[in-house]
Amino acid sequence: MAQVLNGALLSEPPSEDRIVKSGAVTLTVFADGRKTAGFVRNGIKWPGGRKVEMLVGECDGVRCYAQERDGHVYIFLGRRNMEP
Amino acid sequence: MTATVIIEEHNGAGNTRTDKTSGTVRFKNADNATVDLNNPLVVPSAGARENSYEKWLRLRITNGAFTQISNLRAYSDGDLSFGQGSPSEVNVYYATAGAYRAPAVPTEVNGPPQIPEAGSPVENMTNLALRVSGDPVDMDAINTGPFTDGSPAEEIGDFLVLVMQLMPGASSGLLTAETLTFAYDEI
Repeated sequence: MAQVLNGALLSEPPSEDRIVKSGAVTLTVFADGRKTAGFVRNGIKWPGGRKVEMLVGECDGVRCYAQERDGHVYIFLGRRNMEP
Repeated sequence: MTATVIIEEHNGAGNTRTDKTSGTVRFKNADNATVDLNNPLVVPSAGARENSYEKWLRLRITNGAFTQISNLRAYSDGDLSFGQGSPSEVNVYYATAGAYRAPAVPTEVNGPPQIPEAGSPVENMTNLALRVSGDPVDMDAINTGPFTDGSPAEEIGDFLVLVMQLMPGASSGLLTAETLTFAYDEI
């Protein structure tokens, strides 16, 4: 009996600050490499610790989304298939 | 009629089972068995690692008549580079467990990842590429066989717990599929 194993990998965030907009929500994303209080690994904590299940936005023309995970909200950037 | 044995993926606190025999296991940043592009793993920045949620796999007898099933094992073809070249920046690690718990993301400061079930209190997981047909994972070391019940709901052997770990050099995109094989002896 055989199975296949694979995964989908998203590029790491760019090295500049980005603005994420979705509906009435606007927030600043501190990108990878910037050591701020809001920086978390390869994702960014939602400012103020606000929790959402999923939010899709746009970062300078690049699709992005926010997702709650492990008790934190992270912002991920990508060009495709970012809809929940 | 020989036994029908399937591979199932277990998810969630409710231990939802999904038949994955001849199917695909998608490593992702969510605990579900859906093969889609939602919740992708993110290539980490320099000095960091990215772990998937654990994948919990186990064999189950669903049908058929047999005397006993034993010698459960699992193995790869020894090359789990996922099209990423060699040495691969994408690796799959494994451990076995006797009882289920809800899948989690292992702490990402550790390389290889660690799993509480494999030792006390934790133990490093092992690269699945090391387990080939001649040196497979022993899948009934904890829940030992032979298995003779044969009831349709009988789950057999141990859980195979897998984690995909990314290093900063990984290339983004959909990974080339790699094969995982489960085998057993039947009388």
